[in-house]
Amino acid sequence: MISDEFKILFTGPMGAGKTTAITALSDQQCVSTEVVNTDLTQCDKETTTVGLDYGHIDIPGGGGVRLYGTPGQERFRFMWSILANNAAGVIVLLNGEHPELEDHTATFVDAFWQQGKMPMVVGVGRLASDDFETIERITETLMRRQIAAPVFSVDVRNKDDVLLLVEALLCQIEANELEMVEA
Amino acid sequence: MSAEIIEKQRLGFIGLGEDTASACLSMLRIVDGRSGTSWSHSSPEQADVLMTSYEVFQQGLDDKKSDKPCIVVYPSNQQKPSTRFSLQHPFRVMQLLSVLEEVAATLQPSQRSNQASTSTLTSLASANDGEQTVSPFWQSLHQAIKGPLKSSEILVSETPHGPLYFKPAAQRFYANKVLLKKLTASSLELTQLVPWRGALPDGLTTCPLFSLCWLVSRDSANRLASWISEHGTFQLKRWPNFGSLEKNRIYLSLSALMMKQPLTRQQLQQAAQCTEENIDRFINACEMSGLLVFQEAANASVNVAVSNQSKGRFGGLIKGLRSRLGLGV
Amino acid sequence: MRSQSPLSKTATMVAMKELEAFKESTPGLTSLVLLTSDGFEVASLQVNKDSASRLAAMGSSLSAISSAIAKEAGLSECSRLIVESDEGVVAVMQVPNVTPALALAIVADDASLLGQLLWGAKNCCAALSEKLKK
Repeated sequence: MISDEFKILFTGPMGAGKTTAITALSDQQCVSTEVVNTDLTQCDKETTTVGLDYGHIDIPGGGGVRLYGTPGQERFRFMWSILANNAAGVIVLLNGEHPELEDHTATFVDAFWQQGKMPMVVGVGRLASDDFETIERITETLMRRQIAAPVFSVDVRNKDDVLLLVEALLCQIEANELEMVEA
Repeated sequence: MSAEIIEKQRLGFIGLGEDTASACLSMLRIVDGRSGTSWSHSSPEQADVLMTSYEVFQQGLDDKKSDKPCIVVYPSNQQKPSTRFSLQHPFRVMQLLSVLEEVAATLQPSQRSNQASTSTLTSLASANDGEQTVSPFWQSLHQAIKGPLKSSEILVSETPHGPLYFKPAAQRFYANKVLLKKLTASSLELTQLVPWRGALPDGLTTCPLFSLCWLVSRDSANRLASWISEHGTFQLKRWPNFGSLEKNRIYLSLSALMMKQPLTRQQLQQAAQCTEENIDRFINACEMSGLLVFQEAANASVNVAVSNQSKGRFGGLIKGLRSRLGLGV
Repeated sequence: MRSQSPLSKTATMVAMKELEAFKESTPGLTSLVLLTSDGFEVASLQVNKDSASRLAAMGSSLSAISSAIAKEAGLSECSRLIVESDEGVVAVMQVPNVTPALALAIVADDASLLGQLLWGAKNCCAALSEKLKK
């Protein structure tokens, strides 16, 4: 059965840029469930997503892509599996400056990897342009978990970087769909 | 299926704790038969490869042992050491196997007791016997990486914009910012790598192996290197780290395809819809960086073509999305 | 788990008193949780700590999604949402005019009457609003 829509999920800890990324891609204004953040000790962002972010990209000629963003904080973990349902792939956004970067990596890739059934891309923000050591460390964290996902250094305020993550995901979705026929 | 040729190698421990050594010996029994190399434990003096603790690595090995490939086992609360082969403790069986296969691939013919199996090594046969398809720099880089590694060795290549240094054991290049910018922007003539006796100058920018291979392969290695057989399938061990380099659809697509399953060059070309040059450049860069898994043609399903991807579950949606977002098609 | 409550000790005690009064006057109520809009439990009755935390998080998500759908539907706000089943009811209602923004989540079994429940919850929220607003 051929779909006329598919779903891409954005996840990651609070402040990593999920809402920003979806807003950059979405054709219309996104649905947001941001409220005032009362726990500034955990993250000094003024607001936090408590339900989901939702955006949409129309494809000329029919069909579209639904973009969903999960809440980042662990107490909303119950939303993750609800939102991951039927997603074609997931983009994990991380904050490269956060002291718990490796814990965040483990938490989010483990939650969504689904033993390799979910195409995944990891984008790490707030890194210096010549910082490849952090990318290598994150890659090793994934390898220890036998998770084969690419890791990119990105700035989600830059639309081209968001598009790179989407392109990497699309390439994986296509690779999964590859069919071999006898020549 | 071709008969497997099993290579025998000996692994010696220096400074590993009892638990680590014992776990490693158990894992060696588990991995026996899973690759083209059979590993046995021996004394460090008789070993072909050493496995040492982080402390021993920091103190340095004596001369007789320092020429041997060395796997450094480091604790999880330590930064990864800048050596070619390392293993974070605690490690799993597959992680140990992966690093042992990497080490096995570097051992010189004179150090091997038998010819290696082809499950992880590229074939030494070549359709272009005698003809060099890559630049002298690329050839010298290959020799530097595949030869025995010394932790202190530094090589250098001269360029019009300053020297490019390489530490084979650390898999890192070092250059001034201007040179790296020039390499990113356009092709540059690079001389063969030769030994450098001095220390590394200060103030240089570090560049990981794959990143530099990727930049240089654009002009130095866009035809399949003579030491890589055209006939067989290619697969990746992990995604290449493109860093902040160009990341266009073709190379992302090749990475995704080769992570998923082993494919021939023809299948890759069909699936990624790219040129032979794109494929060969990519294979060369991945092979040089130790990311490639090659399997001989006899074991590969070469009579299988790639079907039209637009028949997949997402049909033409992905193509439409790319067009809509202005991504390359 | 956050280490510090968003309300002072006194305010929390005041809130607990209102919850207790509501519980006393309304048959069928099984759990009550006063929560912040970003999903932290402020005060709770008849429910263990873990359940209270989860109800608070889920209540805030549902509340926020309901507000979004109300806006999409052209309604000015979502003042309360109700989840009904044969065995009982879960309702989440906003506490007006307080900082930080709060909501009341209640769980009731089939011994409760929906009308009475909602009327009681509305009064409880009004009382909380009066006593907690700065």
